[in-house]
Amino acid sequence: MMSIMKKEILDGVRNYRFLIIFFALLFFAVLDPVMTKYILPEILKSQFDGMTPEMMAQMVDMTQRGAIVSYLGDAKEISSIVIVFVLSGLLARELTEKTLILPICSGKKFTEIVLSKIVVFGAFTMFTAIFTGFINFFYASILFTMDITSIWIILKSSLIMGIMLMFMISIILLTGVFVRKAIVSGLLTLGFIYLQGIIGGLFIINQYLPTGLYSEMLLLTETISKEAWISLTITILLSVTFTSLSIIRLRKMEIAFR
Amino acid sequence: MMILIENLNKSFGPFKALTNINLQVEKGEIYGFLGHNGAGKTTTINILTGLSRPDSGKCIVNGFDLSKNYHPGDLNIGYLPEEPSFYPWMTGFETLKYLYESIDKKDKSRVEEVIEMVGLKEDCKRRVGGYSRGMKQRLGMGAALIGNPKLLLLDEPSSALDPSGRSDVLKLIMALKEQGKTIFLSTHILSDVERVCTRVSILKKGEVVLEKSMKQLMNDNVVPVYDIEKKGIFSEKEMQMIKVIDGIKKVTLENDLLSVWVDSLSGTNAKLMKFFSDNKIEIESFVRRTRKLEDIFLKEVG
Repeated sequence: MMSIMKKEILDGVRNYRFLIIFFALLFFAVLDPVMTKYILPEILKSQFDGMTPEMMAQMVDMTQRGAIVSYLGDAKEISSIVIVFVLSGLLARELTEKTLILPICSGKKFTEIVLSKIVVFGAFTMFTAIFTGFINFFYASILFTMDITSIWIILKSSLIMGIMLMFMISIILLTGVFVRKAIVSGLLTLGFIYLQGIIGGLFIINQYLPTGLYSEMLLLTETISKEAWISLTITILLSVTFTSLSIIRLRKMEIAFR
Repeated sequence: MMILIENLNKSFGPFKALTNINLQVEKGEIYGFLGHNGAGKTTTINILTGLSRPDSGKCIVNGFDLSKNYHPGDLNIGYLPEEPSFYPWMTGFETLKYLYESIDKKDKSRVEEVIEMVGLKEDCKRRVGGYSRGMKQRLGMGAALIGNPKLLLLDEPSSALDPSGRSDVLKLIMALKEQGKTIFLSTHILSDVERVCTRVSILKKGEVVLEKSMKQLMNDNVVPVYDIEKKGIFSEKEMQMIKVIDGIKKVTLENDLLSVWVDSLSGTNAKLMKFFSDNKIEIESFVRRTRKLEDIFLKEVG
């Protein structure tokens, strides 16, 4: 297992996957406080004559909290798209390019192959989400008066972000093993996430779906609500199920002819 | 016995790739597996590696009955695919090390040993993405050998190599045979098969149309013709004199080579030798003609 994990780390480094994931999150972590503090007010001033700071404050939350919420929102909506496409070929490309054949013949197990991907890239995205979350928090604290002082709030929201990204990786692996095309796997993953959001919103069942965690992430509270626990449990269960299904599918498929 | 295949069948939708394949490979043999493109060679090898499953039939590899769904890594085989795929961002050394680590062996010198064996010492620190096809084939050969398996399944091992590379691979195959390895070799290059294989089978449209030991195959395909060369050119008179020897059917002369068709190979050569001796004709070569594997292959598969 260690040798496969080392290989995945090498893949992440040499194919710049780690770098892109890191900057996809860091970009908004740094940009959003600056946007909220300086750029957005200037844009609003130039667009609407006679706009007072009070009017502006009603339109945009120009506080530390606002800057953090803005980052979390951007990370959820934009960074996650980048991350999905960066990781979409994790398994799909290995199957189309038949790079799994020799490792399998030399004894690598299907379980190890799938788990090492989810562990390495899941751990990295989780770590990056936490790290960039704190960068954003400290940067926002420098630029604004500190409304939020507890680092646990940031840790909780960043962890939720990391869990959601890990959940996305499990969908990428599952779709990848079925469709075997990186781009289609990426699109299906995003489609699955957006569809959940739509269904959850329409039928007011977000708390029973992984997307319910997004609302909890944006609340910026220290404690986790009862609804979020349900969402969290469902997300973890689905991640485990999707990962297991990927392994089962890999075991059953004829690798040589894919 | 290293490989036993009985009534093996495999289809892809309506296309029948393999029909009732039967063959066996003994320990220590170099088995040549011949056939046109699309004849089913790679399909058979994929089944033997455990990477693909047959529709029906029995398949035992290295003592493992493949109907029991063994993981390919448990079969203790070395496999070289026709077009081996590697991670382009890994170096040759890292690739073999990665594959070797999964076999879980601690002998660190093995990777270096194999790299030297396949002739990649100078390029092993380069990324595989920059390798030529021939270098990838060598690396693939290294991947097949890294676990020191008893059985090697080689799908076109020398197809992408230049003549010296091909010669190296053939030498390596012979050296592996000396070590007691069993080699199942699928190839288009019939001269390679003639040089190294002890047993061959020919596959045509998914069916084995011939399976014999090389020795038997060559003996069965001896043609009752002697090809004779002398110093200078045979004269018309000499040819007429040979024609009347008892047991001679036909005599032709082409490019200074005299071909003598005989009724039977037994005894005729002595008569011919006596004739040349009596007439003081100095012979440079006297060869009993044998069909080349290429002729046999073309005859069998059309």
